[in-house]
Amino acid sequence: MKPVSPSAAPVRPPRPTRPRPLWTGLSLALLVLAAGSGCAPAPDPLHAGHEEVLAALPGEWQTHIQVSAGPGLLALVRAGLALTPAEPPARAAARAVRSFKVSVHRHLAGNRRAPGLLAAADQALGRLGWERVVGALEGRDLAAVYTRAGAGAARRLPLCVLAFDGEELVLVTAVGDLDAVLALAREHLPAAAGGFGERSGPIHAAWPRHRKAP
Amino acid sequence: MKTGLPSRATLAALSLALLLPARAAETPAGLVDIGSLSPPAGGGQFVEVNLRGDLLAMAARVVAREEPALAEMIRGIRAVRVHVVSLDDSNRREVKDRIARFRQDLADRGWERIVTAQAPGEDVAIFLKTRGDEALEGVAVTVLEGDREAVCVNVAGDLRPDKLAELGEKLGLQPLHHAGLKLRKAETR
Repeated sequence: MKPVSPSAAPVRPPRPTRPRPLWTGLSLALLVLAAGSGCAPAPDPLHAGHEEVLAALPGEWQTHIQVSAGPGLLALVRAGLALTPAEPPARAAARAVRSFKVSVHRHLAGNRRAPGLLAAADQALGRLGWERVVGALEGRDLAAVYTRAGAGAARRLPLCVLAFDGEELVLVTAVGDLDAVLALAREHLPAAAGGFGERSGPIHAAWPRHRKAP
Repeated sequence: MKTGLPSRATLAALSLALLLPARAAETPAGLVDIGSLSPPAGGGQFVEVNLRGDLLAMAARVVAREEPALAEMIRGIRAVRVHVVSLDDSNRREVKDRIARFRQDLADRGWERIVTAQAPGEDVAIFLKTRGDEALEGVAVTVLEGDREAVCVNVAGDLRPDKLAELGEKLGLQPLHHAGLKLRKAETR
C-alpha cells in the first residue's frame, strides 16, 4: 500500500461561521424568562386548590411524586420541542397546557372511603370557588373533575382532576388553552370524541348498564 | 406505580369536563335540583354530572367548527344534570323516596308528565317544562330500574322538542334520547 504523506492529504476548507439564530433565540428566551417570574412553578391561586385538597383529605397520605410547571417553563418546553423532531402529540400537549401541578399520594392509614374523599375535596375546593362538574364512584375508585366558577368566560380552562384507585391518589391542577386541550382530548380520548357525534358518548361511559328504552 | 385508576370513570369524567365544560349566575327555569343522593355503601356505581352555562357555551364554541348543528343545540342548553346511582340496602329506600318526592315536586310546579311507564323492574317518568306552545325550558327524566339503579337526567335551556331525541343521542344520554322519541311520537298523533 502506498504511504500517504501528510502533505498529500486533502486540506479541508475552514468551516464558515454560521449564525445560530435558533440557539441565540432560545438563549435569549431563557434569559428573559429566567429574569422574569416565568420560571416559577405553578402560580397561585389556581394551584392553591391543590394544597387545600391535600390538607382536607381524611386519613394519612404519603406523597410519592409532585411535579409542577409554570407558564414560563412550559414556554421553554414548547420552544425546545420546536427544535426537536418531537412527536406531534407531545407538541400538542405542550401547546395545550399553560401551567400544571401533578402529585401522586399513597394512602397510609385512616379513612380512605371514596365518598369521604369526594366530600372532603368538594368542601375544600368549594371554599376556593371551584365547582365539581363530574364525580364518579365505583367500588373503591373515585374520579372527580372540578373547574372554577365562571371559567367559561375565558379561553383558558382551569381544571382540577382527582383520581383514586383505593391505594393511590392522583391530583392534578392545570390550566390549559381550551382549544388545544379539546383538540388533544378529541384525538386521544375516543369516548370524549364520541360524546359529540357518536353513539358511545362520555355519558355512556359513565352509564354502562342503562341503555334500554324506557 | 399502579395504573389501575378508575379508567372508565376517569375517562368519562375527563371527557365530560373537557368537552362539556358553566352563563351560571341565574338559575334557568328548567333546572331542578334533586339534591345530593347517597352513594351505595357497597361500592356500586355513582355518577354525578353538573354542567352549567359557561362551560356549555365554551363547548359549543369548540365543536362549532366540526359540528355546527350540534354546536347550535348546545348553545340552547343552560344546564345539564345527571345522576346515576346503584342501589343497595344502604341507600335504596332514601333514593327511591327522593325520586318519588322529586316527581311530586315537578308535578306541583307545573311540569307536564308526558311519559309514565311502569313495568316489572322498571319505572320511568318523563316531565317537560314548557314555555308557551312551542318552547321547552326543561326536561327531566327519572328512571328506577328495579331495586338496582336510579337515574335522573335534567336538561334546562331553550330546547327544541323536535331536536330533543337528537340531542340525547349526541350527548349519549339515552333517557333523554328516548324522551325525545316519545315526545315526537306524541306530537305526530
